[in-house]
Amino acid sequence: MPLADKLRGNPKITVAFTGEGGTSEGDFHEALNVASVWDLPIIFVIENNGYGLSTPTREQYRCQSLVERAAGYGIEGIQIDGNNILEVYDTISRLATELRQSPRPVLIEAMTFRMRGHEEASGTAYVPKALMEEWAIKDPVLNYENYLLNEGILTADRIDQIRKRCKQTIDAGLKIAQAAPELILDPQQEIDDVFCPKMSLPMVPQTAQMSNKRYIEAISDALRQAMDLYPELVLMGQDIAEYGGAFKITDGFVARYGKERVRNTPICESVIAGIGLGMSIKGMKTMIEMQFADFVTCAFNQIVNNLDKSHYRWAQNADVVVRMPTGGTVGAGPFHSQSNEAWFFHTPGLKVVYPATPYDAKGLLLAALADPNPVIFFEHKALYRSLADDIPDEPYTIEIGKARTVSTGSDLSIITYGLGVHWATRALAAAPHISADVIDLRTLSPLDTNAIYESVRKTGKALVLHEDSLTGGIGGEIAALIAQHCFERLDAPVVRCGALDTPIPFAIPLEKQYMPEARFAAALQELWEY
Amino acid sequence: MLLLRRFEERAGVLYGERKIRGFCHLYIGQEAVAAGIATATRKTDPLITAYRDHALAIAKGMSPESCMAELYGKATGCSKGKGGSMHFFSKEHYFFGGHGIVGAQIPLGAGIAFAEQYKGTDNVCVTMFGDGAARQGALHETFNLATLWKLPVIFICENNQYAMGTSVERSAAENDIYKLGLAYNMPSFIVDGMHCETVHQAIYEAAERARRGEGPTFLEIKTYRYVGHSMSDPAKYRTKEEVAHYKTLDPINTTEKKLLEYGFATETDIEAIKERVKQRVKDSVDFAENSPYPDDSELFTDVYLQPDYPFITD
Repeated sequence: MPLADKLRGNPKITVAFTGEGGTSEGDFHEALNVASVWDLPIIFVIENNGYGLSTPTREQYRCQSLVERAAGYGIEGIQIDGNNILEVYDTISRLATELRQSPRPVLIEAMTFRMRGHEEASGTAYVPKALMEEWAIKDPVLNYENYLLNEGILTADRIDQIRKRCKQTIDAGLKIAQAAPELILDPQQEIDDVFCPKMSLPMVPQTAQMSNKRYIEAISDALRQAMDLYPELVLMGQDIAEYGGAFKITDGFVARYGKERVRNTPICESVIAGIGLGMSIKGMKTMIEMQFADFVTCAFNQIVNNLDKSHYRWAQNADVVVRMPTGGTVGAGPFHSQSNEAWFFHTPGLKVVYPATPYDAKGLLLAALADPNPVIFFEHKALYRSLADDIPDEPYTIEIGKARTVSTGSDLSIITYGLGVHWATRALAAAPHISADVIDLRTLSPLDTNAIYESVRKTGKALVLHEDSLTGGIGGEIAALIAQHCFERLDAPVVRCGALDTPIPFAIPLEKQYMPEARFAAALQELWEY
Repeated sequence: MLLLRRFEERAGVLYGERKIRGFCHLYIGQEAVAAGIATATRKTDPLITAYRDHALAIAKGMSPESCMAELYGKATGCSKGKGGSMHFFSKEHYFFGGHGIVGAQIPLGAGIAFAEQYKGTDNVCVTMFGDGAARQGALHETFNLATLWKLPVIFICENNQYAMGTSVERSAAENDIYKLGLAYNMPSFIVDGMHCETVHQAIYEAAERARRGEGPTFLEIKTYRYVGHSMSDPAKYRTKEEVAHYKTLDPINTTEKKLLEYGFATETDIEAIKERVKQRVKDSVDFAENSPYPDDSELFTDVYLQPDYPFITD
């Protein structure tokens, strides 16, 4: 959020709270570091109440106080008495004024204590009685009340009035809550709440001008045009600025759009994904580049707990596209070759897109960037420079959630996406006796089930092919859907073809055997013969 | 150091010839760090690092042959050809990788150290990472636990000034990475990484501290890589003058000069070393060239501890 304010020149500051328990999380470190390197106007407040659920601070960290952490980031750290409202007020208002003038992060550790359990079920048996008594004397309400009485600002009558008013407010609220009808689950309403429905109109190219572009250039093209279309679109990623990105997709972007909008990030995928949601809360758009799709694991919590659920929880869309250079066959070994789309396919609240051609890559990326919801955008590394096509020069969108029929036939249906589309096409070219529908899903979530059912009902046989390992892959879901919805029209068991259930080996000959293409032609022939 | 340098130079050439596939992150310029660690720690002290791992593996005693074969993806490689450049591994040499995800090895290092502490050995785990990885949350979580539990670990940040194309000045406001350690009450120092003696001294002291049960130390070792982040990086983000300056500080030249100056070696000795190293690197290439690729059946091995895990079939 403070990044959005800073970019727009709003003299606003953000206050972000955490308990002392939360400071042991890696996100704490990443957030402080990024805020300091980007001079973000933010006050991080640690409410140190002594216990992380039942774990006392002496079992949480060894340093004396948590403000010591600030030194590691070159930022100011201030410890304050969190039970003294005047000290809190003075410190924060002074900082707020300063930070509006010169944006930077500050770390506050407010020393306080919770007089109840972590939550109401957990109790306080683990807190020594003496400690409870010690802090009871420091009660913030009581002390402030006494202070105001001593200063002659409050009278006993006035206190009585305030107490009554508080009670009335709470009682009134309670009445409303108690009178509210029981929630009755409406499944359609639930599903509608998952995504933000505000969609923009599809974009159609205004001229017929085409250029031959490689898959990678189609992606660059889409990003460049989106940067022109959306003045508040910000790109974030490792080495994407002057260096142009690991695959050179954003080469030249800094010169054209400046460093504020094309942002190099430290290596901290998690906080960057979180910043994406923060920017979205402020109404801005972000594209986050994972250097390799494999590295998304470091941002997993933010994506599958925050980006995906914010609209369902509080109608806040996450206008974020996460670009994922994915896939193998390039001899890159076990941590730079993986296919992990199934993780996100399984997560409600995310859209998952996976183009197989330059045309689709541009149109779908522009659609993803237009979409106000979080989109996980897979792009295959092996296709970057191996595939070119004539595509429109102007911006255009392809509807998310619509499959494409690559070729039509009558014997069987091959349902696939990504590199699988090219494997299927290649295998069919080598087996001219087989007449098959090839369905390129293009979007995995939401899945174009109609396109699948239509084809399978026509051919009576289905072969699902994907590069991801077989078990728990998307093919399993598709096979189940076909079994349920096309059962009466099936002439053969639904067949899945995926990679082996092993990590991806480095040696090229082994990787070749790992990939499903090694077994696909045989599976195709077998199903055809069935 | 010379063996590490020559090995890497050769690997670079072979990568250019496409004999080595995938990625290739070279260690050239940072050899004094590997040398200092190797001499200041025991053979049984575990070491874990990130993807720039070739030289550290050799420094830890792994044979250049098994390393070169791994780069080739051959069955005789230290990871049977399944890992490649970034994923060297040898339990018998106490070298625990070789890790491809930035920063993900840092918690593992603490885990190894915890096991050593638990078993009551006095081994110290050397846990290495680059300046880029210092910005990952995993570092923070690990530093916190390692200090809390007084784990016998030496955290080493090889600060080669550039996380790929992003200089340290651009990834953090506080350029002194060692200061991160101070925030955990951990002894933390800057070390000149261009001299193997200073590295040796710093590592030795940190190891002794850990062996005495006084917990972890954080060393920011300032070094420099002459070449790009990986073979596909031309490193245009640096000036020629900057690279030239660091080359004058070359740890190998400095050491050679010192050996001659103090009479530890003669010109003839040094020539002999150079010849021996040249031959060793050549041998490693021959070994890799003549080794077979892994058999397809290897696909199904080693995924689980059981040799014939029933779930893995094609």
